[in-house]
Amino acid sequence: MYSVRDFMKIGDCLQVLLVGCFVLGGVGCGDEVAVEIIEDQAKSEVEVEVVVVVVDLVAGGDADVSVFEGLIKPLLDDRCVSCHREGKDKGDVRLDNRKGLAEVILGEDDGEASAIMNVLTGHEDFEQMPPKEKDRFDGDEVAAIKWWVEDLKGDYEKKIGEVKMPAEVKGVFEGLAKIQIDKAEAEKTGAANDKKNVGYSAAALAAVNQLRDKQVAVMRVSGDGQGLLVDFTAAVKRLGAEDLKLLEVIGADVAWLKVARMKIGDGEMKLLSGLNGLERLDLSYTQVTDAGLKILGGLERLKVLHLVGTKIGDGGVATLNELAGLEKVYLYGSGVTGEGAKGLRDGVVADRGEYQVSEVAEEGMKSIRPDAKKKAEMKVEKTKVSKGGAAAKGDGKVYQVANVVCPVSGAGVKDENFYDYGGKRVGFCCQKCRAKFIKEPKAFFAKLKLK
Amino acid sequence: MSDEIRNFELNMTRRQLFGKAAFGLGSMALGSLLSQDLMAGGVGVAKGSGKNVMEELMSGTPHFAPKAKRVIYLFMSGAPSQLDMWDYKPKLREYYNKDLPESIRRGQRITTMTSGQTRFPVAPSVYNFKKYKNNQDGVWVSELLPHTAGVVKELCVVKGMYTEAINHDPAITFIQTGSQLPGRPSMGAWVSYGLGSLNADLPGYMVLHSSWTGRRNAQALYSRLWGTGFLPSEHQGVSLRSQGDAVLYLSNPKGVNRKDRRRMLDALGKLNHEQEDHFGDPEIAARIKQYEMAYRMQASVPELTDLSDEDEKTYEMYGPDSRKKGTFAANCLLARRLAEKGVRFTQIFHRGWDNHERIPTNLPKNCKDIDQPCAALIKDLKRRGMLEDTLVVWGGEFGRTTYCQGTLSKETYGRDHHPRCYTMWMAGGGIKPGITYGQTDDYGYNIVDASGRVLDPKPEKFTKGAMHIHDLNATMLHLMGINHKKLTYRYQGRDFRITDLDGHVVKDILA
Repeated sequence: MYSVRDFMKIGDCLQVLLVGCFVLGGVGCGDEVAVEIIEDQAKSEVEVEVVVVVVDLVAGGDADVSVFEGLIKPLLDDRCVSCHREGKDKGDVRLDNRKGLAEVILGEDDGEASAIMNVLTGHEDFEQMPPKEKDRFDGDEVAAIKWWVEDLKGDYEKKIGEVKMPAEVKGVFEGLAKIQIDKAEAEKTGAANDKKNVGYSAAALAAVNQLRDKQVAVMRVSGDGQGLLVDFTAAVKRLGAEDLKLLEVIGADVAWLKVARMKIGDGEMKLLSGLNGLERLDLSYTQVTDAGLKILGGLERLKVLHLVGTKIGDGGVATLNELAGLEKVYLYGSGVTGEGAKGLRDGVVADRGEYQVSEVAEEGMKSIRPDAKKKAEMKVEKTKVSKGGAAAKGDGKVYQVANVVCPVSGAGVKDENFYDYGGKRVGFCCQKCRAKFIKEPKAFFAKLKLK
Repeated sequence: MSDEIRNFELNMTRRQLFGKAAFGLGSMALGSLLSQDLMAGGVGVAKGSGKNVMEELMSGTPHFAPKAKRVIYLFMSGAPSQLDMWDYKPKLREYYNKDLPESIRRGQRITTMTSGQTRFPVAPSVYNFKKYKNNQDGVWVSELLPHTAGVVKELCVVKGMYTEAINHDPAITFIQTGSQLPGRPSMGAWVSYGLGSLNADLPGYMVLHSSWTGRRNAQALYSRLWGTGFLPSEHQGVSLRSQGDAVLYLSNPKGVNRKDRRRMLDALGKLNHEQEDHFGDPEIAARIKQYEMAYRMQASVPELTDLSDEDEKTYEMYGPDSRKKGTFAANCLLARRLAEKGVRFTQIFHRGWDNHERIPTNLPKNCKDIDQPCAALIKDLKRRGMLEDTLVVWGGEFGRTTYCQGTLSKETYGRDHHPRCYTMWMAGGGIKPGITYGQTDDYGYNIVDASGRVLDPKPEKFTKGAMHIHDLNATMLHLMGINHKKLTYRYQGRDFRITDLDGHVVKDILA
């Protein structure tokens, strides 16, 4: 039996065949009509409506660019390839070459959506891509990719001038074209994106060397950026203002700075105020006060600030509010009161070290812990038959110990620790208890509780 | 001259060349009290060699911006019983003393400690569980962990952990080094190697041993678990003892002062350098570095382990044990201090979790050892603004069985080793707080999906809801800004990595 879905598939195949003929035959009005008729049969009405909006193709040379190069590749390059490329194939997916693309644009055998459409649309079994903190595709952009994957079957050859673009796809294409033009102009004027030109001046490198000589850790925050991590921890007791001056040479490349527990105060804040690339600054247990903090008010990129154990008080809150990029400030052990922290602007999370423990949401099963006094009365099941162990030795009969609780210690017995006495096999928790029992068997045997 | 001899001579030349490159370093280190064999991470990069700062800055790790700068790994050696602590299975009460069905066991290999049993009777936990609010729909925690339950909104409780080994040695070797066979570098050594130190006065990887009150007969620990394998020796974990001197022979003997020690090391260094010239062995350079590190630690370690400058409230938070040297509580406090000092990887070992029998006697004691300190560590890191860049990991080498080992009774039940599912938790350092990840069936025996279907995960393929040891290590490295596939070291003709051929970053638990 054929299902409706099978007919759909057959329809799709026909469509491909016809589109193929249409391309081979060149652009012509008659062919367009033929395609439309077939589509009418194979697709739902809604989809047909989309398809029949035949777009007036973009004028000029654009028509000679393939759909892939002109529309799809720029979209993927912009949002996907940074994570799915050579050397960084997240999820073992690569979208920077055709082999990788082929793997994600194929649908399942039963006609389900392809992997790429599932992730773009956030299908329930798939995590939506790009991740939510990244720039996601909008509805039209998703439609453009869907159109290429499903209607054009992931074709690389067809030119823009050879296909009919739905209206929303055309909008995306035009937007991309504009970006390309802007970019070309920007390159002409020399204002190209210089992200790849990471590097440091000779003076900065010399300063890095000098800091390292003083036991200060200096390294790049990450392999894909310019920012440096500078950590004075190993040398806080020896270093002071003079050494901080080396930071000025490195300047805006200092991104993460830790000077916690260093003997510095308001006087040294002037040196730090010029480090306008700072994103994280740890001033914990320094002598800085509200007045010194004020000097740092211009650090626009500062996101995380540690002021643990400092003399910063409610007077410093105004400065914290000035820090445009501030997201988190740690105030445990500082002078900032709960009332003062309320004055912080929205978007700044302050932690004053007051921890609220989690509450109970629901009670579960009740404990059935053994009561120490009632231990011996507990119902017990025997389960272990030792294979070739102590219990099987001797006269060939399989004995079982006669008690559950060790007569010496009161703990549970282990089958392998036993001693035959008074016609019973007495079990013990350990060999030590067994030895004690053998010394005074009578006294302990009297205490024995049989099963 | 035969080709073999010629090749041998060429090799010697090459080795000496490497040796000499390292020699330059060593001599600098000896030249001053404050050496430069600094930091400056970077895989396969000559460290602190001054001239090539640019090159070294440009080529190093991390591969991308890290969420965690350091790790505190709370290792419960012996394998804690997830069924009595985290994995709430109320149905087991109904199944009490019934045999574990083969449909659940599904051919699972069993250790020789229980393979001789005629039955596998289900042993429910005797403990009371409560559900605590987290950032999802809550998490069940046993009454054995009242303090940890209070901080579950910071934790990601992973119930879908699984491993491949069923006995302690291979399992702990596996989780520590990514291989069941001894000889590979440990996770801490990889991190130290990959990221470099933030504090030249302390090793990049420190190991703390704790006293314990649970089962006395505990699994042994051995130095290869924090060893460096084929990585350069300086990345080896340095373990601090729980009694006496934190590091053996760290104090100068009577009659030797620091100046004498310096002169002695300088003289020894000269001899070592002569040897190095002669043999061209890079390990000699590593040895010179180790001597220098030890010299600096003579100053840095006593200061570090002197907890007298901590305030009363802090001791209260970590609990009364925290005043007693060598307890898990004191070690948690010490770990926080190490984290503050920039130590990349601190691992606290706590033993005595191997409860094959008498869980009600032994497990509560061990839980009491760790419960309050774990919670205090989380709170302490958080208030100091360190939880956001410190990854805290808690767990053991595998889980424990749902069926009883030996005699089943409420007071003496015990559990055998279970690799197929167990619970760990992680917090801070870029981990999504207040969630659980993965779930197990009603028996707590298999990892299942939301509908209860058995997942049967395999390391080579990522399975949502399950976390293999390699996945755990890959995720930890990811949080530290390292692509686990790129952190490699060439040895015996091929590149090695901690995740071997597998490992998937579990994105669902990333903040």
